[in-house]
Amino acid sequence: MSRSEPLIPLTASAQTSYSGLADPVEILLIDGHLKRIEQSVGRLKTKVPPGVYKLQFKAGLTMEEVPVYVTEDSGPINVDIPALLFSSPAPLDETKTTREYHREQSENLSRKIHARLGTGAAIFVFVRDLDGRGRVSPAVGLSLSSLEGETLINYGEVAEFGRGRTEDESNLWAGYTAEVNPGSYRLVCDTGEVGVVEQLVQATPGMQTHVFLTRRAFGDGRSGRRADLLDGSIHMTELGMGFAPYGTSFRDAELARKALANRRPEAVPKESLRRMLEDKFVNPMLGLYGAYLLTEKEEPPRKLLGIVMSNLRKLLGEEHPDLAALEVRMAHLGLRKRRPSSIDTPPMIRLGWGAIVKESADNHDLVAADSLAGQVADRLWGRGPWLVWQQPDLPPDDYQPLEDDQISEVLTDIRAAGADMDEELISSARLTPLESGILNLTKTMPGDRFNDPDLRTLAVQSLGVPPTVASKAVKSLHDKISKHDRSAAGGVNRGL
Amino acid sequence: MAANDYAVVVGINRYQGLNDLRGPENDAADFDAWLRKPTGGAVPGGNIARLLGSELGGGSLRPRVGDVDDEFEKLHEGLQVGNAGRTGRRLYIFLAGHGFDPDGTDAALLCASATRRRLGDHISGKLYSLWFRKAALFDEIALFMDCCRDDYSRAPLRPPPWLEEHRPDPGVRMFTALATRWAFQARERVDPDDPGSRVRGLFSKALLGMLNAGKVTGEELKRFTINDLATLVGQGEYQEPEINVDPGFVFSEAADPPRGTLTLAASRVRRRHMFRLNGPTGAVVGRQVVDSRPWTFPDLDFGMFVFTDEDTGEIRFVEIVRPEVDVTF
Repeated sequence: MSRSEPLIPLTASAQTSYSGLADPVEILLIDGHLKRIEQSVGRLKTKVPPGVYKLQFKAGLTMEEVPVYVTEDSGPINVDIPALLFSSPAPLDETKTTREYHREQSENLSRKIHARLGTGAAIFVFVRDLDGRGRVSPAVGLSLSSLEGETLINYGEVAEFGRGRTEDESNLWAGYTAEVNPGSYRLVCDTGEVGVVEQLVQATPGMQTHVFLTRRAFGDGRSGRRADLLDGSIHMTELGMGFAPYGTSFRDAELARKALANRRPEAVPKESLRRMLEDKFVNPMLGLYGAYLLTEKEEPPRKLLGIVMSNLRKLLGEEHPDLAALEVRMAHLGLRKRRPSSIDTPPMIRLGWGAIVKESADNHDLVAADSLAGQVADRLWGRGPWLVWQQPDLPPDDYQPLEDDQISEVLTDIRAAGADMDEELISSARLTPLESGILNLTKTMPGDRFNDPDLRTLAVQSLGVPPTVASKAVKSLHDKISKHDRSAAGGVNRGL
Repeated sequence: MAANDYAVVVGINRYQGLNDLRGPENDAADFDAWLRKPTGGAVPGGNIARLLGSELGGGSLRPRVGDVDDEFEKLHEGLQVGNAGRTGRRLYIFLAGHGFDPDGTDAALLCASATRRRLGDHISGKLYSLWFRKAALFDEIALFMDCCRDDYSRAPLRPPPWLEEHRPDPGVRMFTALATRWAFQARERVDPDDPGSRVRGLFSKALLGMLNAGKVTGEELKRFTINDLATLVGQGEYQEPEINVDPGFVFSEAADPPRGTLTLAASRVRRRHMFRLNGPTGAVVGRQVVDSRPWTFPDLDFGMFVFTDEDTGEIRFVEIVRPEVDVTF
């Protein structure tokens, strides 16, 4: 671009009937050399020199391209495309995946109480199909468990379900609201093909948590479709308010969820972020999303984050695992001095878990190995904004953490035994991925590092789990290998 | 000639326990041809391990895991590895066939012996390329995988079977191109542009279109491939590649930068109109009255252009991401 070239104002936006509201439509500006030069969400405003450009509007899996030819004589250019409807598991009005009868049912069912398992909070779960092929309740395979793993609700058996009244309204829905005691719960989905996966759902005093899911095929889909936790849409409203498909806060929450999934705080315009933080009183999930997004900024605003956290504590109580995770994250970013001394419950949001693992490199005992947080640490599954894990095995009753002075000896044993195991033996030992990782580390690490005081920090960096969890896996790996040693003792030596 | 470049190229069409495919061996053969081309990868033939199912003998379907591992091992043994590592310049790994990804962080090529219950017979693109990265045997590793990334989380990834080699300075540059996002599928179709109407993977077609077009940086290859794949996939379908590039990569180094030839044919109603072509930055490329004979522009940069019918003021956008583009306006 030469200095004399004029810069022409270019504005692009995707229309919605929600005047002034930003939708989670991502807008990319690509120059004539096919290089991405700008991107924004909802609305893009910039100045460009003359040339050929294209604007890409993306929402979910929908994309529309608009070429733009800018000349020296061009006046300000405005490109407004009709509403590019995005997909959402929540049947929000004016989304690509909304259905009138899903909106109606979700509003009604979210205001009912189907079961009273406690008091002071509620959890509403709504699952739906989007392709008309469903024959059984879309909630099949889905359940709610206590934090300890006891099944409280089998949604496949108890949720109300149905389809629309006409032939065109063939997409099944299922919904169920339970009043519960405030606290943490596990939403569990047996996907068939890829096993049982779970995530945390928090019930907040005086609030109703809304969980919206759609079904999809897992693996090759032979086991049928199941609710997709990774793409869930989670909201909160005051108890008794129910879900409002036309509510702006639900819509903004979807914008934030998608931005969090892509870890792109810049994808949320400033005005949306501000509204998100103001609106948290209507839907506190917006406050949580907003706080996480603020910590993702290059220079997180300390003062604003302080205010947001203080408000969130009032709204969500001190026990919310994501508040603890946010505190860890802020401490790690140097935005806060006090940090939690222990984390037993994993957060709902994956970004929070990343902060906890990083922090454990300095605070080795932050996550107890036998807590739920410790049990899921090496079982995380999938990508997205939510922390989803594969159901952990029951913890052994006799687990005793290794003492510091035992670790070096145990690792030396593992290395010696591991060197004698061929692939087949290793395979038959049924090592977990974490145990395999440790076995590989012992093979490659110089023996004197086993006494290294920084070994635990190294475990976090190399294995991506808290040191307590790594230590537990070292012990179980040692037990498995020892068993193999014993069973091989009387047989043919198949070692190298 | 890139004498110190090496490659392992695998294409699998037929499976013991999975539905057969028609495109991977074509994709692998095309990649192999690009590797050998002096203006392509320029890799000496002796440095390329080519494993195409139909070209391997034996009674059972191949390649199996051991076949692929053997080739990597031969490659390793052939290198004169000193303590400092770094005996090769670049390692190419191209894997095409059925695939899966248990957790969204990798893509694994299923070998010919795989069945629905035997997903352990696979080559993990990430773990294998990371093994070579840690071993620091090459300055650069380029991994291309044209396979699905179905989410079979109960199938743990199999690490390479060799003892780890860990050398200092792991500053090995990586180019990783996976055909699709996690939990999505990679598609293959009959290629209408192929003289033999062969089936090809859409990702491989877009990728090789760019590699064969001329000298491109890693960033350019990423950008052009993503653009072209979106066009090839078409409306209503979704396949977006996941490409990560460390700075400094250049492909098809001996070739000229990619250029295209654009041919304009005026429709009957526009014949004898004055047309103008403007390039990516808006500069005028040419201006001419077009009659029944097409107007041809050779040697254009890849990018976006615009034709203007000056008699009517109407414009037509054209994207050049292939060597030959024909437009009727």
